[in-house]
Amino acid sequence: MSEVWDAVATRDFRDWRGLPRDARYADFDARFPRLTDAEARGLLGSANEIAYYRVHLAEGYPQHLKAWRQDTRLVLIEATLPVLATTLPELTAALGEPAALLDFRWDVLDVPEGVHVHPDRGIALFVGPEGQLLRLSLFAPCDLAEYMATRRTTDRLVERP
Amino acid sequence: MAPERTAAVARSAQRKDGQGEDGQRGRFVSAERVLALQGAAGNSAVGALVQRTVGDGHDLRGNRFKGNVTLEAVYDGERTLQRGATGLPVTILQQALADAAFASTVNGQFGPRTRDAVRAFQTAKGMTGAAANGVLNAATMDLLDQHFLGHAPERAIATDPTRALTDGTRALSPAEQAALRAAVTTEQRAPGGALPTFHQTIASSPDPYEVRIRDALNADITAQHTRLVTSRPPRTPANLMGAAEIDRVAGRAKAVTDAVFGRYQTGPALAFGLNIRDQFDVRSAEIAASPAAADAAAAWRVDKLLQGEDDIKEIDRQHGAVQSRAAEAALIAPIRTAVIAARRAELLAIHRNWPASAGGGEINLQRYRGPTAAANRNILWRLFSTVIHEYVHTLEHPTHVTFREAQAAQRGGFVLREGMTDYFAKMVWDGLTFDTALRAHIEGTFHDAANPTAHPIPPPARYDEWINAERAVGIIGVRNAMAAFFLGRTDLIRM
Repeated sequence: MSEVWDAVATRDFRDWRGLPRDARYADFDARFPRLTDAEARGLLGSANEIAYYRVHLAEGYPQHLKAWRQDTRLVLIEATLPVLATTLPELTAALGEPAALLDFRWDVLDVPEGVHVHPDRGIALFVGPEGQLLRLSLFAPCDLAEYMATRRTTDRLVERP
Repeated sequence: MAPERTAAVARSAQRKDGQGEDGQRGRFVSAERVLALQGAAGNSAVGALVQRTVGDGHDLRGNRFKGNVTLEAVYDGERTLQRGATGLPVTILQQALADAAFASTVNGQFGPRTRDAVRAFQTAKGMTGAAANGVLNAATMDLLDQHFLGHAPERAIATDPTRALTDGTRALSPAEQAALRAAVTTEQRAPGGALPTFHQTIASSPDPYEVRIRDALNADITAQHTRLVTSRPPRTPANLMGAAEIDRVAGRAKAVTDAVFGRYQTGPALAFGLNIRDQFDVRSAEIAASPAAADAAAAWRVDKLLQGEDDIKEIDRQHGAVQSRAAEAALIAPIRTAVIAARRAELLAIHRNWPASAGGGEINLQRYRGPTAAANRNILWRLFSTVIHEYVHTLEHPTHVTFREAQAAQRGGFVLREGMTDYFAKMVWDGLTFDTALRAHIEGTFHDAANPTAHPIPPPARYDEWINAERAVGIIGVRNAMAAFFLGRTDLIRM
């Protein structure tokens, strides 16, 4: 398990093979300190599965790590604007061709086909229109349908009246 | 014209608008519609009579009743509802009686049980003798309307510890499903279906349409920039609310919401850094990360003004302009482009400093403190009401999320997302007692102990769609609405 956390800590995902299916949140929690002890509840994927998340701290992640758990399992890690150890082209070359390119929204900007999904590698890269990495999702290897149903997050905020 | 004829004209006209068969109208009744009604009747006196029924200043206030032509006519003393009456107005009446704990069958048919329930309500409200006759008349309609204004009946149902959570829910009839569909639909329909004729110049203005739009747009940007940017203090820690302050307010928001809906669902409190974030920081990072995002943000701000600012809508109205139509779009496009370019820095500053955005149980908000203790009290009360709304979001059952995501935004999707959430948040808010203890907790160091209850509490900002949500609840009942939202029983809001 430590090599998984090491990859997160070193921000090098060229050899990433996904979170183990039985990854324990407690292990992640022990490795990466919390920003706050408070825990939030949210929904994952088109199936709107209930999951809980905390925000954790790690070097190279200026917006921190958002770690989602279901029961005791760590099911998803999200990082916004991570500082990779490699260039993005080096990472994409290592990951190969994505299984799907999905749309996402960055603030009020719609980014068509910006999410490079590698479900078999347990990673999704949210690539901006200028080719920069805006967000990163890490999860257990799965097929595309499972990613869409249970791991994909949406970020569609509306301005308050 | 007899009142019955007036109501018939109104109903007929509404049916032409695609509205409900029973006088239930959409959110918008325009002056144009009243004129159309006058024209339909061929009698200028009709306008006054129609306005007597709806929009005359003597209208029902509760959204579950408001705008239903029949119930408005009852309230105006133009008719009554009694045994033998049928249709949606009767359904709404029966559902209100049921929600107010006066046993009532909800079937759209005013029979003996409905009469008895009306009579019981009248008696409970102090009407005696012949006044308690089981007939829905103006006085009874007024009392029933007042009964729901603070949402006490709905809170009583939500918090009744003796009641199973799905007790009193019911399957909707096809007619009720159609009425629900109409209630949650916010699509605007043009009166009569025809678009207005565009006039680039009008007699009352020396400037053509596009010049007026450009000037209004620039004035609005200047005003927003002044209000949201230049009037704000420097972003030093002393001028920003801290995490502990925000979490204190958020914790109480959870507590007061759980006190109402805790039997249905509870969740973790919202917390700063977790699901409450600093909007300025978030948007600054998003804009900095992508020039295209900055371009989109600047354009977004201008488009929002063009489409929603009151002064621009008024110019459109005066010129008969429809911005999406080719002629008007051709005039606006170069103005839009020029303004975005010329005022980009101000637009991005406005975007970073916009008060708040939210969704999915997360909030981005500004942490600026105000210049005075009173201003800071207002900021904290607004934070409190916003977090109540967002906390209610987190209590939404996943099945309800899936259900409303399947509806188009203007055909129920947005009403079920933000409107219903705001309706439940209002149920919480309207039950609060703004006593010294609550004020001290929310206002913290800005609480005025010498005049502890003197500060006027600012009313919460609400999405307009909460009105549609309450109208829907008037048809389906609050038990169905809560079971659907909190327990995922979306079969009870099928439409």
